[in-house]
Amino acid sequence: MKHNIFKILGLAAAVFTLPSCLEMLPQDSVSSEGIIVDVKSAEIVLNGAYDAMQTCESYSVTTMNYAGDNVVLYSSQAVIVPQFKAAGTSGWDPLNGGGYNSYYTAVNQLNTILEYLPKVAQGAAANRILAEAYFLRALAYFDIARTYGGVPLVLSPSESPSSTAGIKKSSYADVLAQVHKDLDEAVSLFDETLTDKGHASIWAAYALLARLSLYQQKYDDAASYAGKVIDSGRFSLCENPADFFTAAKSQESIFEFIFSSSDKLPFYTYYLPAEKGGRLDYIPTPELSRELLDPQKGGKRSQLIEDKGDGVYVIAQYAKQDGSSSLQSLRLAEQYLIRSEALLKKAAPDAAKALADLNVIRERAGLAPLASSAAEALLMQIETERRYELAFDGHRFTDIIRTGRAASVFGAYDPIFENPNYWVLPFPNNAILADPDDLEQNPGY
Amino acid sequence: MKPNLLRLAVFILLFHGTFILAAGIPKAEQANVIIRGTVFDSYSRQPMTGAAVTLTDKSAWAITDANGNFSIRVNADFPLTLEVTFLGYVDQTVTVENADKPLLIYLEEDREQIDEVLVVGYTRTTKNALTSATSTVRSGDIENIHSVDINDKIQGAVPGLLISNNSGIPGSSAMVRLRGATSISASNTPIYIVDGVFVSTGNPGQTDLGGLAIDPISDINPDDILSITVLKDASATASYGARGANGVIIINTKRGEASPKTRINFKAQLGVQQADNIWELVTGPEHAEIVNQAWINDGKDPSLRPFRPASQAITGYPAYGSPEEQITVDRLSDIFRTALQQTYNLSASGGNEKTTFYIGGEYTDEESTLKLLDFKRGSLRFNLDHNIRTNLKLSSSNAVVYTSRNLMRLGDGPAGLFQAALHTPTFQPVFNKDGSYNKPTSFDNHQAILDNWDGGSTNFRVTNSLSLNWDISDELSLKASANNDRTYYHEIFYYNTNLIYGQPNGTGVEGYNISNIFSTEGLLNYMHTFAGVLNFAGFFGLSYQRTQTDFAYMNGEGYPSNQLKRITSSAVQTASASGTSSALASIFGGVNLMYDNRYSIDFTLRADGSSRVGRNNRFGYFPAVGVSWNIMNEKFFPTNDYVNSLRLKASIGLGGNENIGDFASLALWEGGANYDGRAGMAPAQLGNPNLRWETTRQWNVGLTTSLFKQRLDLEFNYYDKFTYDLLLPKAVPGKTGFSSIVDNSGEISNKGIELVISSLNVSRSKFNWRTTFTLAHNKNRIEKLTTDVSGNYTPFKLFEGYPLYSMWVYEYLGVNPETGDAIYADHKKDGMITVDDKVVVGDAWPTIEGTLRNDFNWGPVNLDVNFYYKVGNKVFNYTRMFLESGGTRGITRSMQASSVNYWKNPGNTGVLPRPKSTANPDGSFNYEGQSSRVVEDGSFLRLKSITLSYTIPSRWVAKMGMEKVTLNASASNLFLLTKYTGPDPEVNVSRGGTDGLVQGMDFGMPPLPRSYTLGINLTL
Repeated sequence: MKHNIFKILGLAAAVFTLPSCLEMLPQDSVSSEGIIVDVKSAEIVLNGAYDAMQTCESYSVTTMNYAGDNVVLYSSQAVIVPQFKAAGTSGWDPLNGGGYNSYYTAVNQLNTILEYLPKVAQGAAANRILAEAYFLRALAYFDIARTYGGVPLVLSPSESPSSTAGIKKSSYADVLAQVHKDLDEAVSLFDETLTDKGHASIWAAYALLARLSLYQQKYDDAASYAGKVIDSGRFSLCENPADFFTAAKSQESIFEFIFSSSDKLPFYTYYLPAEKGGRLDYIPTPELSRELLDPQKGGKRSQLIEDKGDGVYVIAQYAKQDGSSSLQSLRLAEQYLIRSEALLKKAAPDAAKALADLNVIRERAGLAPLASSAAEALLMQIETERRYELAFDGHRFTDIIRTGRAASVFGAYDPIFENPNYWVLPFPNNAILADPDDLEQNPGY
Repeated sequence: MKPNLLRLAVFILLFHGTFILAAGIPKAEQANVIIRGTVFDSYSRQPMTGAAVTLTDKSAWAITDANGNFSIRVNADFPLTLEVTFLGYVDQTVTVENADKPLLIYLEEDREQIDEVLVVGYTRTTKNALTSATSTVRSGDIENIHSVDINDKIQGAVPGLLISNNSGIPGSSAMVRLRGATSISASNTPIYIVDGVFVSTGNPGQTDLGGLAIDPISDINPDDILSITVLKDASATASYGARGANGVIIINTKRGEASPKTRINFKAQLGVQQADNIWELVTGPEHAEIVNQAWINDGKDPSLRPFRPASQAITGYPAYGSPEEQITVDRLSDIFRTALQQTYNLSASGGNEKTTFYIGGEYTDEESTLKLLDFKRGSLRFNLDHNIRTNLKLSSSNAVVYTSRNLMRLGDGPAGLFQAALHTPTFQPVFNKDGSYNKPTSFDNHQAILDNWDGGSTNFRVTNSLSLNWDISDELSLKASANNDRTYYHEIFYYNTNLIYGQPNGTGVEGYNISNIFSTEGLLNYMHTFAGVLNFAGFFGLSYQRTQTDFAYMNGEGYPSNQLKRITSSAVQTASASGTSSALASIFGGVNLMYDNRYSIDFTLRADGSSRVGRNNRFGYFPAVGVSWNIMNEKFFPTNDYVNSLRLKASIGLGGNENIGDFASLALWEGGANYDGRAGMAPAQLGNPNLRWETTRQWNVGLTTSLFKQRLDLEFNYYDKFTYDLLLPKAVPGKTGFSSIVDNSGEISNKGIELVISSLNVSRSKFNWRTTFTLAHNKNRIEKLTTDVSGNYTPFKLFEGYPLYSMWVYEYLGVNPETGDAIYADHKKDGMITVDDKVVVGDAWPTIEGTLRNDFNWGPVNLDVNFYYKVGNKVFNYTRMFLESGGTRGITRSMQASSVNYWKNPGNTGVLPRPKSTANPDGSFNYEGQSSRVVEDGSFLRLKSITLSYTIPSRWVAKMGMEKVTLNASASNLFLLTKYTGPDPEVNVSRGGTDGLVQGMDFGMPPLPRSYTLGINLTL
């Protein structure tokens, strides 16, 4: 009898534990096989890539603002330019560099589109998705390179942990060259329509090419690309310097990342004081506040900051209380300043036109136009106007590095900046540890 | 005789102690007098529960209750003869001349007899045959300890089971670790089984409450519990296979006993709690001085120092008034209160030989000493046993529990009450001049929180089990059971426009979590004795378990007014909902062979198939073997009065941990990556089809002995656990677009000893003094770590060769008396203090921990004094790091009073560094947060509870128709002996749930309160 029972139970066990009852599938995720099958699925992945870029760029702007001399921590108010530490484990910590891993998360999504979409769909709809993907990849690599210098160039999707084995850092110049190549691809695939400033367009590609050319010191190109945007007639400066962020998709905006109360700008609470629901980590440097408030210097750009009530000024640009502030990626004011600088620096300088572009910005700020002066003085003035006009757009740190003025401008705060090693941020420590074969820490860190 | 006794034992077991010696039913019409009495163990003088007291003519009988008492209604036909029996004891016959006073009956242990049958997990065994390390806590041991949570009640009582209260908040989570921690990524919490039901232990909360987590174990009414058995070694846990590596805690609740009379028990407890020894903060003028000093030491323009006359304010450089003008506000006194607590229990139990029952109802209402946090619980338990036929029994255990909590964020985060009161500078007024709440920092205004906070949760839990036990023969039985644990958790928070979370127009969140654990088991048990000396016991079982969790989280913003609080009133509504599930199918079995009551050997094997592990490794096998040697029964061992028992045991085996996340092995893309209102997808993880469960190999050797006529009992165990195939997020190069994949790569070891000594120091008829001392030591070590793993907080980083919960910081050597700057150890010897100079300075594990408990009994008076101690654990005092920040946090954060003791003049020693936020020449910072300056010794000795109880003489209470009335007064945490500078070294913010890698961090958690309780216990 005993044996029979064991037999029955053994049989029951076999039925019972059929592996099929152990196949549980998740309810809110799907297998990665065959993720892109048509234009529609590519569009979904592209939205995911915008979502990822939206996050990367928010953190990048925060990091780059804090790295420069425009923004300080409210708690310590220690005068600017942090001592970068490579100790961080969180790639997002502004103190530890600008989100290395997360950029590649976005890049991997974009690579997935660029790899698989051409295999399953052609035509105008597919071209637009490809163009936007090329644009976003260019923006991602440009900003990683601005943060870290040379970085690994990964141009195809990762299927396994070893997919990228052997890809070492490319030089800074090579990364920028790849950015250029992607933007050229984007330009060739876009048509000239501009339907939505929350998505990339050919104008965004031109504007980014203008910025890139400045960094590549191709000043003729910079002036020409900026000119395409300025002269397109599709964009115009807002009446007031602060109007570009008070409403989304302003007339001045070329491309911006859209946020909403259900998809909030990361870090928005970092700019808001407690009574408005924030935690106020970042404020403008008191010196910058004083200059922006000076009618002779900042003019109407005093609108970029607000007195929180006790004499402490806070940044207004990202401080919509419901988190819906857009992140301005490209806007017309910058294009004027790019063209102005490029016209002065190009092989055959055109000081008069450069001055005219600069005065467009000054006049909008309610300042008297400048009379013509020596190129050197004018370049210094452009640097200052960029500091005020683009105060919290994340340009100040790399502007000073790009123009070779770090030793004198940032060196005044900390002599460490006389050493070019510190003109780029360190890779997060965990990025180095995760990629010991290929990724070397930047020298000096 | 032995086989008969064995059979008897099986018989007893099948009827859960409800056996009836004789079929006689009392003839009520003849009964006219009541004989009362108490049965004791003659050695230990402990009352004996479950002893059978029978009239020799079998016309009446009774079973002794939890206090050893019995009462029998008989004919007044004196003299009468009672027979008193208890398994394992010599039968005693007592002649009764009259019923005037209660009988005191002392039973002698029968050393010739076989010992009691135990159910250990799935196994039926006897004490002599037991090869595994287990500990049992009985209801009487924990009823004097005041807590709503059984985890807190058994703290220290089971050596090897480390329980650390995270805060003084009732019903909140504790860290529970059995014999150390075996995992980095998966859960380290033991599994809890209540009456055969695998119950959920995960925090169901959806909203991040900082360091506060809901403890689902607090859904169990401690007064319903009969016993808690902790399975520790591999031999005991192997039959739980893939879930056993962290140990198994088996809770049995009270059941009815066949008795002529239904026993009614009522218990009420009322108490108050207070928090004391709270931080002392600087005064306003002191704060101002320190901040000004830091400003000047930073090399900034002294004429722009923050605290200077308001008339000197210029744009961008506000002036907050001179230091002497600053006021001092005490916020901490506003947020604590004398908290009230009340608990009522009413139970009824009884039945006849056919059906027995237990019904228990409870209501508990406990305030936290920190305002805005409360815990309420109402529970109902119904346990039923029914003999369908003499060999077929139906048993059911059911609990319905409702817990309700007021909740508030603790630990970090700007919205918490405690943080707001602790960190808002004392020089800041509570209100602005216009009467509005002053919110000068990122923390909310504490008064605004007190006036406007609205948040809490409810949990409705239904736990059921139904089993059918069929005794196919005397030797073979079959048990089939179905068990279910279902939890409906709902939480709701509303932040109105007066709170920072409610900006600009009010915010509401609501979360739901519905979880279900269903399991079904079939179990076959067989016992047989060969040739009178070889006992065989075997079991074979099948089980299937399915876990399903569904959760939803909703958010509303933009409310029309502060009166409309539900999300439906809000302008912008967002929601997410999802679910997850897993399944486990298993076969298990084991045999025990015992020869001549001397040698015993156990073999156990379990095969588990889990949906969670990779397709290529779906099934896991967990074997164990254990042996025991009863030296006393050897012929060579001389019979003597000094050594009453002596046993050696040893075991080795494997256990698993399958708490690895439900879908960790699959390559997935997930939704929700939306942009500008359009749906998007993003890659979530790379797959790993080779994923396996974590496996723990454990061996154990133990010795138990009883000495000096059982006056001194001693149990000692040594264990060695080695866990391999640890699931670790293996870092993959960031350029792949992924940060990690889950991989089996790490190894962890735990080695330790456990000791219990219990002694009966004095044993007189009028006075007894019993002492129990427990001691546990565990050495945890990460043996292999192939990847860089860090906790949520940088100091909690994992290193090969060091324990989990290690603290990795700059080593602070003090202050340079000449410059006033901090000196840190330059381990790299490069003249600079860099990240490479950080070292591990300690960990959160105690070297030893345990209890010392003394129980004094003078007749009706009982005094129970219970100390809990922990030695050698380090605490990362994160709160002090913030509060002792030398002005580096400027005007935005408060400081503790010790901050004024900083370096002022050359030659100052034993002081804090001079206030300064800029770097020193060696790159270090004076008030570096990750510094051993704030790593403290967390050793302590706590008077966990002291209880004085008085049992009113039965002749008085009998007149009121009661059987027993006990009054008691108790106090918890009457004193705490520690060098720790914070309020309580035990508090701990655990991030990432109860299994976070951060343990031993004091971060904005309120201390354990001191409580005083009065209670009454009535038995009818």
